Amino acid sequence: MKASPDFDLIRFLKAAAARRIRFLLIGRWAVAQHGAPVVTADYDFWVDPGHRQRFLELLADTFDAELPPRERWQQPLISAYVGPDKVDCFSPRRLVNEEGQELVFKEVYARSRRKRDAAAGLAFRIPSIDDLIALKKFTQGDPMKRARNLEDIRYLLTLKGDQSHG
Amino acid sequence: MSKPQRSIRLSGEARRIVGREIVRVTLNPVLLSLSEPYVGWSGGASAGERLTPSDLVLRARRRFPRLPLSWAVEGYIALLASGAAEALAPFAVAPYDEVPESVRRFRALTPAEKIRLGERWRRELRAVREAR
Repeated sequence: MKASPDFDLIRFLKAAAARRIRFLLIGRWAVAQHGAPVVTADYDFWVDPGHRQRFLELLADTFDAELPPRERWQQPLISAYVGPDKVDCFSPRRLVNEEGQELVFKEVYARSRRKRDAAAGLAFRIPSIDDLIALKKFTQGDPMKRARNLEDIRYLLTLKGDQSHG
Repeated sequence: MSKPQRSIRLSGEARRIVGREIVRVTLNPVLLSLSEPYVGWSGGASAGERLTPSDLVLRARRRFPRLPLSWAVEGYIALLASGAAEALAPFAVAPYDEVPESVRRFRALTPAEKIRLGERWRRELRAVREAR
């Protein structure tokens, strides 16, 4: 593994916005953006399939990421490594979770929430709470992942209830 | 006879939970009269130990989280007047109140601050793991 520095999420989000790459920040970083103080080592993105190439090029060119060979970049899940950090790029047009819920990128993107931080010059999108809960229902049989996802879902349901009362 | 109304300017927690700065509640005149010993409707020094209208709304919302606000306030006044202190406890704790203070502080951070804090936690977690 290259001795490159840690993945800088803020820098990446700014660079992706500058290149007009359409994607959603998903996973625990999105849960945190909804207000849950959770910690995670991985970075997960759901990228518009039409923007996958640009997304991966940004990772490779600007962030010195270790990526699979270019001929495999058409795969719907690509894992990149930036220093010690893993960056997962999901780019299917649609997903069906363990409960049979279908999630279509365009629709999830249309329902997504824009997070903007003017002071930091930052703007990006995360799925709505409902969509993020649905996205959390992928565990691939991993009991640790299931436990983390259940914890995240509990947080998200609490936050959702809070918003409906607010 | 029309029911009297009160406009209440909310502060702090009440404003956060109700989501508005000013609310208008319509109250049964008998309950409004009964509330006088407990609620300082006019505010100022004469309010003394009485609840401020904003606190009344906050407690009513917590006690009756699913009722329309005016009904919740009326219900809370009825409980105050009944003198049954145990009945004043929140009927159902709203999720917002279940969230510990540390979480509420996290939620108040800007998107970039959340990321920076998350990255700091991640680095600390990694350092702990590596130290084992």
